[in-house]
Amino acid sequence: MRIQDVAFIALFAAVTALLGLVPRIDLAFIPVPITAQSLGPMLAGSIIGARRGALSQVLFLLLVAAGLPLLAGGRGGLGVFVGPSAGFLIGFPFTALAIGLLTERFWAGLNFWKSLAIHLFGGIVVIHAFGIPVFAYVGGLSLIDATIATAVFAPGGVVKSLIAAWVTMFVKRGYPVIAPGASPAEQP
Amino acid sequence: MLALYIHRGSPIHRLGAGSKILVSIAGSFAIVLVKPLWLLAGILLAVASLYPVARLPLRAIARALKPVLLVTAALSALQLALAGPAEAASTALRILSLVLLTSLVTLTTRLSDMLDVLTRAARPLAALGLSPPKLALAVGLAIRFIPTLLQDLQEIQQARLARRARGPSLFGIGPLMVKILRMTDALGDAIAARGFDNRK
Repeated sequence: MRIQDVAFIALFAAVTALLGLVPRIDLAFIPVPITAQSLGPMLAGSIIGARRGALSQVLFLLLVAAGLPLLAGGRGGLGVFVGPSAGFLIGFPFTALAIGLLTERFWAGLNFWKSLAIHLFGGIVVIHAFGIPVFAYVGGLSLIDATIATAVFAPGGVVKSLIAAWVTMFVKRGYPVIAPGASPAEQP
Repeated sequence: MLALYIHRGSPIHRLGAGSKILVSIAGSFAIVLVKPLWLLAGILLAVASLYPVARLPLRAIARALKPVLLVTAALSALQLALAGPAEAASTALRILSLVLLTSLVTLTTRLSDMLDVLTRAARPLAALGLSPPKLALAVGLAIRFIPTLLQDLQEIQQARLARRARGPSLFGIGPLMVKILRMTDALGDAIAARGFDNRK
């Protein structure tokens, strides 16, 4: 792994932390405020790829576990890994991994809509696949009840997927990291 | 940036970070497995009584529980409707004791000690290419990047303001990404040029 890769991993851990500082968006038609934080793993996967993206999220979780208040609302420490929403956090590296793998696979012909589909899958399906079982277990709910209870996050996931797909295409045109060979900056 | 650690000279502060983490993991398993309501209530009281032992203010208990209070209340209300008062109470007691116990570790352990233990525990990441020296570099860089990114973000927003860019400020994310990716690439070169051994 090159030094650049280490720097990219650190960068996206920091990006995820920074997104926790973004004021949460309250939409009238959704009962749960949207925090921008889970945009971090999505962008990590689609901008620096599967392996580096997943590692960046592991690093982020490590910093949170160590006691830095990097989660939305200034939360952090070991306590967040035993609460009802711990599964969503554990899902961060896997979200980055899934989005990274798919983005790398479809990189050559990637357009906004394909990227949107990838982000919807990773940012909603994958993260809920980790979030729901833990939520159900800690909260003593059945999986179906837990799915219904966490469905309130889905509209936020759609908004974040739209943003992430747009940013992915912007970066693909401007400064691609996944396949730098195609970058205009690299060509003579 | 402030860590969550609160400095005091208590016996709990003096315990090693590794042993505190292990005890809290064992305690968490016990809390999850315990069924009787009176025992769960006892555990919550016992965990809460560790806070005065650690010479932490009572406010620390409130602050540790605040983030989960809302979701705990919602879950208990749901349980009350689905399974009755006993289930509702045990769900609430369980979540509150889990969070209180693990928060105690965070509040009484220095950030650097915690990072030491966690980076040692993360040694298997070497298999994915992040060997211990590289992980240490990444930890340092990530912490340093956060204020840098904030500054970059402000610069981009000011540039947008200066040219009266249309559209929500959200559109600043695209240029910000390109800017920081370029900066990070250059930073990698700079670190390599200063002799960071890439083979480690």
